Amino acid sequence: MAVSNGSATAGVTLDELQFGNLIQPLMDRAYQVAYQVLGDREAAQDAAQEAAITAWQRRGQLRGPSLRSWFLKITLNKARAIRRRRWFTVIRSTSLAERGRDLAGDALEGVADRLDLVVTLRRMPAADRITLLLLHAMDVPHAEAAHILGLSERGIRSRERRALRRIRPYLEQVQP
Amino acid sequence: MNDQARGRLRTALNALTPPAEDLTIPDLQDSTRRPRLSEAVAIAAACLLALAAVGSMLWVRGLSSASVPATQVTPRPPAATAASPGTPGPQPPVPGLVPPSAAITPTATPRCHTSDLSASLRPLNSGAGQRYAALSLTNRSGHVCQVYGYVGMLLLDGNGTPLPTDVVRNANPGPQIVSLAPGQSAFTLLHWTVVAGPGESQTAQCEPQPVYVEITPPDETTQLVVGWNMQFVCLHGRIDVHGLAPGSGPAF
Repeated sequence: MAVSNGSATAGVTLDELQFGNLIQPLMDRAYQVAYQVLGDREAAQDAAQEAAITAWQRRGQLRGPSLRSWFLKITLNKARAIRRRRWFTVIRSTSLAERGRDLAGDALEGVADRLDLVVTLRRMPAADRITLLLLHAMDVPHAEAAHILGLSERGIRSRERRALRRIRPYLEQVQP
Repeated sequence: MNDQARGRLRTALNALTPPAEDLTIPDLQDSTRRPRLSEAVAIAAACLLALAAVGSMLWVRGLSSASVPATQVTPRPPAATAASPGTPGPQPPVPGLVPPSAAITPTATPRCHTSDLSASLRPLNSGAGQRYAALSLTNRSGHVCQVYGYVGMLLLDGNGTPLPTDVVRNANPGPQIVSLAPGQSAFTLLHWTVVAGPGESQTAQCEPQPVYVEITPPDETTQLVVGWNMQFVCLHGRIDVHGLAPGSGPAF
């Protein structure tokens, strides 16, 4: 097999099992990215699953620095398309609120600065949040994150700086 | 950024997303996309509605040919032609309840589509952390149409990013058929609180400040966007709404 999560060759032939084995580990990341756009668990799951089908249908066009970036880019486009069908989101817009309630019940409860950090992240534009998610939670290299978001590497670094500047007060609060 | 801050940021970023319930890859061999559950439900609902509509029409026709005089089920002529000499002229349409029989006659008033309507928000007297507003939908088309049900809402920030919104429908007063002549309005009262609830920051503003709100008229799939020039919405964006009623709502 000529494809791995780290590198990809255009025009490879994959059977269903091979493709599934490559994509399945990326589904959770795809879901996380889609959730930042949609703010809804079920819609984000739908986006990730639709992305898997689209990726399978277009497997002959696999391109980009890695399978991961290619798949996450498809997912992001799916999530944006679903968001444009906005009535879907209007009906199911309680999930972020549910997550807020979850946060209150978990280990973060009582840690005001941590909650403030989460609240601040939630208030950010989705694009900034996804940038931080890719770079600082998924450890995606800058070049790959730039490909996913359709930016230049310089652009992604600029967006990262801007997003980090917004949350810096909350990060610095907890430093000893 | 030191390691501690980096770890804290990673934790917070991961906390943004609730755990997924189902991330299995669909059957790829079947390359035709399977309809999502929501789409399947929508299709099933549409089929049921169509069946119900056909059933109603057949039932009405059955009545007309059996026990009910034909004049009672004959489609009502337009108001202008209904007036006979010696009778009062056509009255301007008044928003309000439409008799149930009118709703099932073949000439029933069409539903107001999003493009037929404009939306406006008006703050009402508020206090003790409770906020009220009147949301009006005005028929800006050139024809009579009707609304029935509740509006959908989604708060947005200045970038158009969705904010937590939890629209709760109050059953009392519930929905009613409101017929709107051009220029007439239907309204619903909105209620929310600015007092932080469980799981919300007690030290800062509970939720982000909305700048816009998307309004989805009943049974529509497209939205109207209006400015939200009022305070933020605590309790994770909970807004209580009522069924649409005729008029523009209370003055204050």
